[in-house]
Amino acid sequence: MKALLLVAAVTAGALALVAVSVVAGRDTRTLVSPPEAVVEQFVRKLAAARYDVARAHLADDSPAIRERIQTTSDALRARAGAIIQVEGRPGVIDGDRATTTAVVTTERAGEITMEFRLIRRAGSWRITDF
Amino acid sequence: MDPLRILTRVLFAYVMLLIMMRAGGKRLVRHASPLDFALSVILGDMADDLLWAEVDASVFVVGVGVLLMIHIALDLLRSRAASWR
Repeated sequence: MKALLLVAAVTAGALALVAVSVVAGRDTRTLVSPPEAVVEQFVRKLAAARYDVARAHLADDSPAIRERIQTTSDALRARAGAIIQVEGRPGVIDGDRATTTAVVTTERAGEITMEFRLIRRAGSWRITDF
Repeated sequence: MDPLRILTRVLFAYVMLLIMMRAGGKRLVRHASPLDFALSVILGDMADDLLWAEVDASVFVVGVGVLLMIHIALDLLRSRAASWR
């Protein structure tokens, strides 16, 4: 029982440390996933047609954006073939907003650059537009 | 990716796992059960996600904490069930 309480206390302490770093220290890239990593994860999930999981990276989860994600990635696959590699490139961070790009290497169309706009909510970066 | 940020995340993950495992009470491999081994593999994979910034540190902390708490609670139940027999 003592071990259980100790682990709970350590978890709470570590969360407090992360919160201090993110909220007070304004950390946007070290203990939080940076914009380019968020974008890379998002595009990888789209490439695997895991739309429901990809939605977790979005700031606004409306039916319209869900529809847009699916049509965009379906169109991309139809036009460019299979997605071979995805690489998020560091962009510009301006306060709680950021822009970044993802370079998608495809089977037929070569490299395609996608631009993303992100917003910081509760410390985490979320995609607002692409 | 900035090497200094990777180093910071490595240190955070290492210290976090070290403290958590010590708090969990098992310090020697010979005390480990097959379930302990499975847990260590899962924790290793979670650390990898943090090192490459695929998840936020808060997600890592909650994931590790909850997994360890479930593991310890199951250990407690198992030892109590053995003492009732």
